[in-house]
Amino acid sequence: MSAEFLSICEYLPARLKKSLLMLDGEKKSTCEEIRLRANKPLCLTVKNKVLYVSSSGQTSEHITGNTVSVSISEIKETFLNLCKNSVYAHEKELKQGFIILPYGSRAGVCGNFGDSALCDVSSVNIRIAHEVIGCADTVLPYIKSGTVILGAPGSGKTTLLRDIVRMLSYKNKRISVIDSRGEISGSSRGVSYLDLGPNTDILLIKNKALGCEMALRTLYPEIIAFDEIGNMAELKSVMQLLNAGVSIITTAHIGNENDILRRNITRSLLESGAVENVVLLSEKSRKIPRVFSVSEILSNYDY
Amino acid sequence: MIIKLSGVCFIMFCAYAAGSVKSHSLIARKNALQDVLKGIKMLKTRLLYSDFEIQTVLYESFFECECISLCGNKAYVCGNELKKEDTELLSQFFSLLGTSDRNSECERAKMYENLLSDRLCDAESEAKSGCRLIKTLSICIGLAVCILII
Repeated sequence: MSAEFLSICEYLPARLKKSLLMLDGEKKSTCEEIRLRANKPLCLTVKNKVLYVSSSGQTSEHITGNTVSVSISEIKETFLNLCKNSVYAHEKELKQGFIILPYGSRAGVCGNFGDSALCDVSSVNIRIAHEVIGCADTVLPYIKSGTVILGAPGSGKTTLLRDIVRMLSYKNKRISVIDSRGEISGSSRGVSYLDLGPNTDILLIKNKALGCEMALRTLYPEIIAFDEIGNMAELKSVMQLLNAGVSIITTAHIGNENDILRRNITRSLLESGAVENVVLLSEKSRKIPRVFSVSEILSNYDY
Repeated sequence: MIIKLSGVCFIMFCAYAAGSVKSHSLIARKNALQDVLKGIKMLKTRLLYSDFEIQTVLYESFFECECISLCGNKAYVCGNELKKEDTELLSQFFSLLGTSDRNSECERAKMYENLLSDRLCDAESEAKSGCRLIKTLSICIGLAVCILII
C-alpha cells in the first residue's frame, strides 16, 4: 500500500510531495485519497476520515495555521504530470472526468468542462487503489454461482471483487473481467498491474453490456465479472449470460441495507435469478463481509 | 613564375572554399527547416489519429531530425543550423506541446507549420540567391587579392 502511495506522490509538485513524504508510515499505508483543491488545504482521506496535512507532515481533523494550501499552479502541474504532458491522449477519460493511473489508482478531475475539452482544472482527487490479497478468503467458500457484492461507496467492493476473481482464476476457472475504468485490473496503456490470476481475460471497454456480449462470444468464459451494475442494459446482458450458463460476479452501490430492495436495479437483479449469493459490505463490517443467499434477502427485507 | 601561379591557385581555392562554407550555412538552415517541418506534419497526424503519449509521438516524428534533441517528454532545438528566431519559434511550440486537447494541439501544430513554411520559403530563396552571390563574391575577392599580390 505504501508503494502505491509513494508512486502517487511522484505526480505531485515538490512542495506537496515533501509534506506527504513526511507523513508517518501508518497514514501512508492506510491513505485512501489525496485531494487537491485550488487555493484550499491539502487533505487526505484515511479510514473514511478527512485529515488536513501540515507542512511538517502532521495531520489534523481541523485546518490549522500550518496546513498546506494548494495553489492553482500546483493543481495545473499535478494535472499535467498525471497526463504525462499528453492531455490529448487522455481525452476520452477526461470527458468522463478522470484519468486512469497505473496500479488501479484513479484521479478524478474537476474543472470547467467546455464543449470540447476540460479547461481550468480546479481540483484533483487521487484515489489510491489497494490490492488486498486474501480478503476474499472468508467469502470464497460460499460463492458457488452468481454473486453480487453490495456496499456503500468506499466500502471495498472493487477490492473484494478483485480478490474473488484472482482466487477463482487460480482455481482454474476461466474468467472474463469487463473493466470499464481499469480499476479492477489496474490497467493503464494496455498493461495490467494487479494480479487477477492466470486464467483471467480482461476487456477494457466502457460499455459493459457490449463487453459481456463480446466475452460470451469469443472468450468462452465460465464466469464474467464486472464492477457496478447500474442500468437496465447491463441487467439485460446479465440475463443473456444466465441463459448461456455463465455465472456472474458483480457489485452494486447501496447506501445502507434498506436500499437493497428499494433500488430498482438491485431488486431486479436479485429477482432475476442471475445471482444466488449476496455479499454485504458495510463500514462496520469492512473486514468481515456478510454473505446471504438471495432467498434470505428477499424474504427478510421489506420493500 | 611557377610559384606565383601556384600561389594564385591557392588563393583562389581558399577564397572559393570560404565562399562555399559560408553558403553551406544557408543550405544547412534550409535543410534543417525542411526536416523540422516534416517532423511537425508527422506530429500533427499522430496527434490527430493516435492515443500515444507525447514521448512516443515526439520520438516517432523527430527521430530523423538532427537539429531536434529529445529528452523524455521534451524536445529541444540543438546545433547551429537554425537562426535565433527559428530556435525561439520552435522552443515556443515545444514548450506548450501536450498541454491541451486534441483539436487545440492540431490547430497549434497547423499554425506553427504555416509559420515554418514561410520561413522555409525565405530560407530557400536566400539559399538560392545567396549561394550564387557568395561564391561569385568569393571568387572576385580571390582574384582581387591575386592581382594585388602579383
